Amino acid sequence: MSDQSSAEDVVLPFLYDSDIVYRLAGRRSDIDPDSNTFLPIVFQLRDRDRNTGLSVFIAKNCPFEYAKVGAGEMKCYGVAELNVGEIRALGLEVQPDRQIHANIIGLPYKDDDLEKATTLAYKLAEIAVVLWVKP
Amino acid sequence: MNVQVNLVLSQTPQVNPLLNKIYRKHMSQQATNTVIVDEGSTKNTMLASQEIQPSELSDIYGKNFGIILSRLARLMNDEDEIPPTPYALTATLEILFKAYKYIPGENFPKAAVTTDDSGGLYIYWRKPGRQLQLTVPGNEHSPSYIYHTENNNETMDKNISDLTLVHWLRWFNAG
Repeated sequence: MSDQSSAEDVVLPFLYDSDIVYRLAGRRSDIDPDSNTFLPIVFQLRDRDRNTGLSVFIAKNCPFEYAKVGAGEMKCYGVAELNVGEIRALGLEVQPDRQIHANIIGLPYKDDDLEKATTLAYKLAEIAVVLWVKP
Repeated sequence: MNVQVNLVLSQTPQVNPLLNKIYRKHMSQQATNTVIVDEGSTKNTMLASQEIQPSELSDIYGKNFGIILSRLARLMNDEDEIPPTPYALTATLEILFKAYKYIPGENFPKAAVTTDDSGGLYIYWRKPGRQLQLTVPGNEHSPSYIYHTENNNETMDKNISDLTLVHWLRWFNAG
């Protein structure tokens, strides 16, 4: 097996209901300054997420301190944790695409189903527990 | 666009300078060829560099409404934020100021303010058990709407009249 094929054959992590994923806030205004909780908009698909899903980081493979710095991929103003089982209870799935990263699948884009997209965003915001907000 | 903004300003003469600051700060960050009809570009740049202090707004309005306006202004100051489009800003200010006439002072609840990636504005009023959201999209081709939820019963109202937000803010306050 060549180096190239072994890289491609990396087994993606399996996520149990008890697993935790992190959702990161990329902007200060993603966070309600009065309650220090994530606003529902953090859980709405952006245009660029339409074909992939909502980006999350897998806690068992992504150290919390690494999540706090945006996992090297983005600016980060806050980190919230979500339980995979609770996400699945909403009829959604969490699909890993890398060792540290997964996408929440099943959320409609707002232009396709505004009401459902908004309601699911509220429900995800409800189960999200904020662990850290950038001072 | 300027006509719409002037409409808002004419309805709230006591705060013209502050709203002008908000508006010009926003416009200064848009395309450089934007023309504001009543001011020269040099003066616009000067005004745009002035910071809006929350205390300035709260002195004129109730504290909560001042907080909303200052949070709106912050979206235009922070380079990590996505500023609202002129359409979203103007339409949102119109709706908010009309509602403030009916729910003045401290009865107007404070809200969190953010934008989506298209520059649409999202205003969130939140408390345990009740949440209310006003969304004005980045352009006139999508609908503005109000979304409200109480104990997992949610409804979306896409037909927004002048008094729709007033109705739902009173509902929010009563909960």
